[in-house]
Amino acid sequence: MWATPAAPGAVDEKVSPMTGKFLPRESYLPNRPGYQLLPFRFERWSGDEILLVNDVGELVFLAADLFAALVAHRLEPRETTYSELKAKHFLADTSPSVPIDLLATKYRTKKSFLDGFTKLHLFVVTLRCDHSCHYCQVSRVNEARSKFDMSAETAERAVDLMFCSPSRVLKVEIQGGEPLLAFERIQQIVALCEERNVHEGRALEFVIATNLVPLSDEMLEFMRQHSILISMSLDGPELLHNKNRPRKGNDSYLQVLRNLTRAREVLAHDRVSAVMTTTKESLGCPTEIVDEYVRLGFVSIFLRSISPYGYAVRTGEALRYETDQFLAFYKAALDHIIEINRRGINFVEVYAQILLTRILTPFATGYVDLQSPAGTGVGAVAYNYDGGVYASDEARMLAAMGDESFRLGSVHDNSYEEIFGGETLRALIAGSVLETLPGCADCAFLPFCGADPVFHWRTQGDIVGHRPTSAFCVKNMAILRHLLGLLRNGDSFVRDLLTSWATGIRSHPVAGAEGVARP
Amino acid sequence: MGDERPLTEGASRSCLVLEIDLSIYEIESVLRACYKLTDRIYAHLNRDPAMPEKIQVAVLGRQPDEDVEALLGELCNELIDQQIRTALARETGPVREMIVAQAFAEGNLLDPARDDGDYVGDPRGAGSRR
Amino acid sequence: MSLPISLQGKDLTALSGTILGRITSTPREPRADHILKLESRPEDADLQGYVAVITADRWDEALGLKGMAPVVHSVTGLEALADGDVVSLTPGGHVRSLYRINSPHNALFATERCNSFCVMCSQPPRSVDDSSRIGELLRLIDLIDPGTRELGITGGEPTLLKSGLLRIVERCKERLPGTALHILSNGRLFYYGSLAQQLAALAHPDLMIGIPLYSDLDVEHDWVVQAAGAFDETMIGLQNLGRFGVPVEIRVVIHRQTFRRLPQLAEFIYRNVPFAAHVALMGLEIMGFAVANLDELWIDPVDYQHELVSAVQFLACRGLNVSIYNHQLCVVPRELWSFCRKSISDWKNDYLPKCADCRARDDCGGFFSSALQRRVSRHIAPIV
Repeated sequence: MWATPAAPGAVDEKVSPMTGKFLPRESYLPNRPGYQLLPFRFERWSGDEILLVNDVGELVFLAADLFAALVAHRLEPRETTYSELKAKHFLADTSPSVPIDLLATKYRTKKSFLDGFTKLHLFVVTLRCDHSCHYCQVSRVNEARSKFDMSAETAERAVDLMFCSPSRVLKVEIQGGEPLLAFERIQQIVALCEERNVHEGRALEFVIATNLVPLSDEMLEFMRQHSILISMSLDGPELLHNKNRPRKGNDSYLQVLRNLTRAREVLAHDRVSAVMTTTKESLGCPTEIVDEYVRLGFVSIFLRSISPYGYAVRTGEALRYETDQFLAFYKAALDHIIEINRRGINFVEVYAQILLTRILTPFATGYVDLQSPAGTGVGAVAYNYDGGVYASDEARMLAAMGDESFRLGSVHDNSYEEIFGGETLRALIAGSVLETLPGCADCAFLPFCGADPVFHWRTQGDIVGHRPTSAFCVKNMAILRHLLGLLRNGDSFVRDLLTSWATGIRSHPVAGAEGVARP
Repeated sequence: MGDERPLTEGASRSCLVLEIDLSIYEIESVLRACYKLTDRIYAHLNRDPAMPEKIQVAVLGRQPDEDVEALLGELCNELIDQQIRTALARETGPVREMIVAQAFAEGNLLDPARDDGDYVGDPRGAGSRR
Repeated sequence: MSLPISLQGKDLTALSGTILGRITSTPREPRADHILKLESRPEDADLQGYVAVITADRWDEALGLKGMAPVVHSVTGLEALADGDVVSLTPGGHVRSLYRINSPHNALFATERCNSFCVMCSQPPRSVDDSSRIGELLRLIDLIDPGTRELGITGGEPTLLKSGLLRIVERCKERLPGTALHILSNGRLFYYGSLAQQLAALAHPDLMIGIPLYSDLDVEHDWVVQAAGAFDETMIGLQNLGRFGVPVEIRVVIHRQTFRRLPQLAEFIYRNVPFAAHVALMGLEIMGFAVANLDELWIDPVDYQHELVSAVQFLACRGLNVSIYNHQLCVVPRELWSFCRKSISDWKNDYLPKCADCRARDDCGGFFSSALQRRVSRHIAPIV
């Protein structure tokens, strides 16, 4: 087939005398038959198919007989799946050193959320609140001012502690209770951070998590001047929202809407985002909740599962049942969101977006509540009103219920090294690396998933948890399966839509380059 | 497949016992398979010193109305998958550790010469045609 | 259009070696950089110190110019040379342009040597002693106009100059700080991290390395480039360049031996080289080895449009910068037109007569001149 090139002297050919021949493909095949397997995990997908996922989230679906051949080292190179498995680094038939190198780079990229250590810093400026939401453990209504407010000194020490973090990016999230009730404290914290940052030169972001009701024009002006984002709570349509979030006069929804409009006028429209909490009451109205968000001009919703930190602590069978109900709620809401997109409205479900980014891209995601190792302390930390430092917001909520297991120290009494290098955090990290946890270590979905040690402590009694009965595991596996199913079996609109959520490229870029969101 | 045998004296429910040949399924596989089903079964493992190559797994449903025979069947299937996983872990475990180690290492662990690499001397021969 | 020029004249003063200079038709300083291009013999010419004097006129010994400056006379076609062009003069009176000031496509030709042997190579390698080349290239850089927008570095395989390449890049940074540098390389020698690191350490302000990948499978790539282990070396090279922050572009020449796995290659690039600044999917240039191997390489672009659409959409939807080079608009599906570029260097670019009627002609990149004599798609037709 491959002859020597045309004779010397022909136009254009100046062939070096020592390289006169083109060799056939056979000359470049591996010199030994057979292959070695590279690390992957698998899951029975359907009757006849196995899902294989490598350590960086690349996946392959294999027919059961091909899978059996693969693991028995009998898969033939001429099978098309052989090439796919090789290119995606599931097997190597020459030296594995280059695949290992590439996988190491990809693995490092997937873990890049660890760079810089703690990025998200929650400041609990007060426990006082004008609402008494059913799922909240911490708020204190009608309490005296000073007892549950963060002091100026605590705020100062917390800011100092925050700047000990090596992270280039520092996201300051101000919480409560209702933080706007302690507005001077917010002003002080922002001022301290900005002043300190003059020579720190970090990328500072501010966000206030608020129920929006106590919002004033003065506060809005301050937020505008300092580029502060608002994350407001909206559980759904009026009846549901007010039922979940009672306050005196039972007018939370009306107040929220009024202030939402004002906030959007002063700050830009996209500086105000919304957060919902799912309760038992929410479970019956997935489409109504989504419609409410769309109606109010939000471009996304984060469908979070029911927190177990409610007044009635739910564990075991009750939690499992609730999880099944939540999954039905989630799928119905997601279906509805897809239909909304079909009608031409861009609207994203954020939890799916996070998972899809992990499935479809080589990149990491910064979402602290689903990481390996867990984001507790490593990604986020909470400074309580009294100076207590907690590994996460949930850890702080546990403390409000009397459980101080995940208190890392105090801004008043402990150094950065004591808090972030102490035994509590080390144990959390050691117990939340999925590759070492029973059940997780073999799970095909490992690269897409994460650990929640505080959740498992609360519901199962230890930070590692018992996988087969873990509501957290049931939920995540079901949602991952659902999304993978949509990617595999959905029509092209669904597949393109879900891909666009992961890549951030909204419209189809090939249509004459209009409306293309290209970096 | 299983013998009917009371788990404890005086117990009202009986359990099924699965006998597993350890020359086919390694103990890690057995343990992981049992673990995976412990949302629906209670499992008790026992090895008779006279027959060390076999292990008995006594299985009881957690719910009283559980179909234990079906669960036992599921356990058997799970054993096969777990045995594959045990073999895979043996084959790919060291490579996985190398990948993670290399991901966070400063230099090149497998081929240190590559980084400080003498591109002039070119020991690998990247500058020539093979 | 500014083509590379090769002219022949007579060497009056018997040049002893190659000399380089910048063309000027009027007296200009510094003389040591310039070659004075004269219409006729000047009466009281002060020619001392110029690199050389060239003229279309026929001059002889009797004019007593010897000793003043090297002279090449009787050069035919001299009017094509513009002031600012850089040429080399070799013994025997050969005048060759190395840089054309009015061309947007100039390149430093680093070496004829290569460590690969691509089956479609348009510039087949030769094993020659090019140790003197580095000095010439450094000199050439000194003479190139600093207003030049872009300069290529090509060959053969430029990295074979090793530290010589580093010196060249460094000189470009010093003398041509506003000129974008585009190095075409197979990337194999960047297998050694130190080379990538040293290149990055030069901190050239606008550097891009264009590196070909022909498959997601080592066997296929190695076969196309006819070098065992090349894929591995190139992939490690890409990782090293990424590590040290040197911008890379992935280039894929699409022909009959590479089109089938183009979508899989797109996915492979996304997963393993997601930092690529650009991906160029290129049509075949029918020159060099591609001519001899044409039967095995040629495929009508219309016959791989499915794979091309799939690969382009995959990459574009993931935010990678993608371009299609060397394809005519009439053989590319309309939805991909926004990715097509006018990529063919002006001096080898041409159109068919029927293209005169085409509405899209001004946006279309046309053909390689070499293709027009050999093979074009059967679907070429004016768009109406």
